[in-house]
Amino acid sequence: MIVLNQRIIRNGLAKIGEHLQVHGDVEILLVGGAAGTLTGELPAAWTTADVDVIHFHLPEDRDAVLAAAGLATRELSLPPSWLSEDVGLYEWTLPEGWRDRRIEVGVYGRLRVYAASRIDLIAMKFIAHRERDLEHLAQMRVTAAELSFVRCYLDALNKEHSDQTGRIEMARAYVEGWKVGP
Amino acid sequence: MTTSLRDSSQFIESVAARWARLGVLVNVDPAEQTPDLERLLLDTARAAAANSRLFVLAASWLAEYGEYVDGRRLAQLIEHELEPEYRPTLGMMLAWAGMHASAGSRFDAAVSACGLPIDARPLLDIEHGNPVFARLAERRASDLSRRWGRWMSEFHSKPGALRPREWIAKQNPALRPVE
Repeated sequence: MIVLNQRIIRNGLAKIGEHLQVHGDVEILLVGGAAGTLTGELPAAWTTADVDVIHFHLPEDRDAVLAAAGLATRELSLPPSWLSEDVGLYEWTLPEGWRDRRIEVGVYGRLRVYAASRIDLIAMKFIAHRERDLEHLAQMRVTAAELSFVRCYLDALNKEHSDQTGRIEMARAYVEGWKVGP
Repeated sequence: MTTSLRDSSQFIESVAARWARLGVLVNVDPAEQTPDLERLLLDTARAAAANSRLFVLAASWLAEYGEYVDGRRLAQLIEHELEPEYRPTLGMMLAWAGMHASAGSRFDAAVSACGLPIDARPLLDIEHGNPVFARLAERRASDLSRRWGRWMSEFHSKPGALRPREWIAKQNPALRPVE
């Protein structure tokens, strides 16, 4: 069954696919609530139907997708920033190997849409550690093995992004304080 | 309202469904009828500790569409129906909306009805129930949340999750701006 949130998101993506003016196929990667919803990792009432695009396979596709999203926004009475690329600032938080783990959630015309996998969403939620991320992590029932993955991820991040030490250490505090269920 | 009822998925979904009817792009089927907006705000305060997203979305909606709220009726409902432990949460939501709305003073009476903070703790249950997280929550709490004794970090309005005014008016003809 497609629940409402999926319907809004999928209708929007389909409209983008319909309006997309490109010569080749376009690939995008979703993260956040939309990714969690489309992959069934997050319950409906804990997410919103706006869409965070963190990665365009080809940078030159960005403008075409945003232009098509503008048309979709008007036709479906969606909020102006329904599809956002602001999260692209955090592309550095994508764990290594995400491309092999990503999940295809739909093909709409020339638009191929992927969502970050469960473990990548978990890792990114720890590094973001806003209130809603903690709630999502609780909903996702993170396992001990997944916490181990996140520890390795934070170590790797720390080596490559020394300017983000404060954020990484805060994330580590949440990992160490996390209570794994039975 | 008991804690178990407030935390139940059904209650959270009912609050989310009523906001969906009012144009919030939360991921549940919208309620069949236009909700009682002032009572919805009371329920949102009750649900906030279990779902901060609803708190942020409701605050964003109020900042954008606050003219639909009957401030005097809301103040009366707070005094007569809202349990004391949820009043700081609603007070913080209304105060935040008041700071971000063009006609924020319409919430003044309702903010006053929320009274003074009764204790100091993280807004979220998940942080309240974990001493490490509670300490971290206090460290990053916004000034406003400290004033209300319900710690949460600074947050921004979420216009990307709100339908346009025209959509809200079309779906909810009974909803009228309050003078």
